[in-house]
Amino acid sequence: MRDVTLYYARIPGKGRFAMPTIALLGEDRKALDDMSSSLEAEGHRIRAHQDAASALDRLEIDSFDLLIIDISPPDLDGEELIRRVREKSHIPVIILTAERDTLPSLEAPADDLIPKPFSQRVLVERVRLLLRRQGFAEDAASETISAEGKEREVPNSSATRYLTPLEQRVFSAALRRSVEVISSGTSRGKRS
Amino acid sequence: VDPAGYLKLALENFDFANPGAFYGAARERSLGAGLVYAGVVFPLFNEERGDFDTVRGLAYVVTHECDVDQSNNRHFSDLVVICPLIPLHVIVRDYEAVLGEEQLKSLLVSVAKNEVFRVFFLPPTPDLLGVPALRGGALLYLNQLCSTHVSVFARAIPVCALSRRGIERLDWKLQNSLFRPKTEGLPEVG
Repeated sequence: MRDVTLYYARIPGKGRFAMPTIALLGEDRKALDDMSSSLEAEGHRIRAHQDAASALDRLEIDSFDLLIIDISPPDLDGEELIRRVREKSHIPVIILTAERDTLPSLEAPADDLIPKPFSQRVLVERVRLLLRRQGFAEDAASETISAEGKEREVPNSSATRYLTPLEQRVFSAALRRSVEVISSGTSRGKRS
Repeated sequence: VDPAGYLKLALENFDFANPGAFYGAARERSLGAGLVYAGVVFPLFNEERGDFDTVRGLAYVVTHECDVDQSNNRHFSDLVVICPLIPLHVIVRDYEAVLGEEQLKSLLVSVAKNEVFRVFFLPPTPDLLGVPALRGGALLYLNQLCSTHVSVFARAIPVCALSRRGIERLDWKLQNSLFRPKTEGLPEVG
């Protein structure tokens, strides 16, 4: 097991240093195999299933730590799939989509959305962030830290809300709309 | 989108007795922690291109004044840590468009109660201070903390300062964001 798995300390209900189990749902066998290989190399336990819609009925969603759904085939209704997941569980969900306009139209929110094509490195990193956030949530529970000689209480995790990757992107986009761009990295590069 | 309605919702959940007491005047204060400047030039990552743009906007100064005071005994620091501000009406519009009204309301309630990790609510400035850009409130998104050169502030305009109570609250937030217990997940060596 590689060191990277040590990021996943204390996943709630799984004990310390549990190996995260990820469900991969999609129609493209090769894409599922590629993702499985990349994520297994990072120390995750992967359960890949073709025929996403029927797999959702069969699986005990709560036995997984993360769900990744490829909704690229046009006949798959991503919102409906997420809604069905949410009826059963609140586990993190990553949606993979080939539709560039899916993000603003998704009413049933996923925790993250990765447009295709994407590199496996991006997928691995997004998975790491989502899983680490789960671990952090428990780490922060009512601990005290010492600063400048004073004991201060870290807010209880039950009251702390963490921005999802999608929310983080909304915040970054809003910041960009709040400022005036006076020069870009690309334009500097072209001049030099 | 009704920015005024969302601001009202945030203020109803803001656990700070007098939002007006969150601020004071910026004049005659030297560059340092607690000040909000307009026209600050700083780097902003461009996700589409994978490099940085140079942008200008509102920013809160994190670096303590002692570190950028040339007459201080310490070595003068020519870089200043800042956090850009997002006006509330901008985030409200963007967030609602992507995640919907109900989630936006939920977020605003949590932000106003100071319960969202690395997001800090700045209430509207009092009319007396004359800071139009902050009259609708703003958010500090602490994931965007960055540094800029001290010379930038020669052309930036100080618009207001957080009050002592305001800065205490933000310092506490910064402390929670930056000084988390780090023992979990790190190699135990030595």
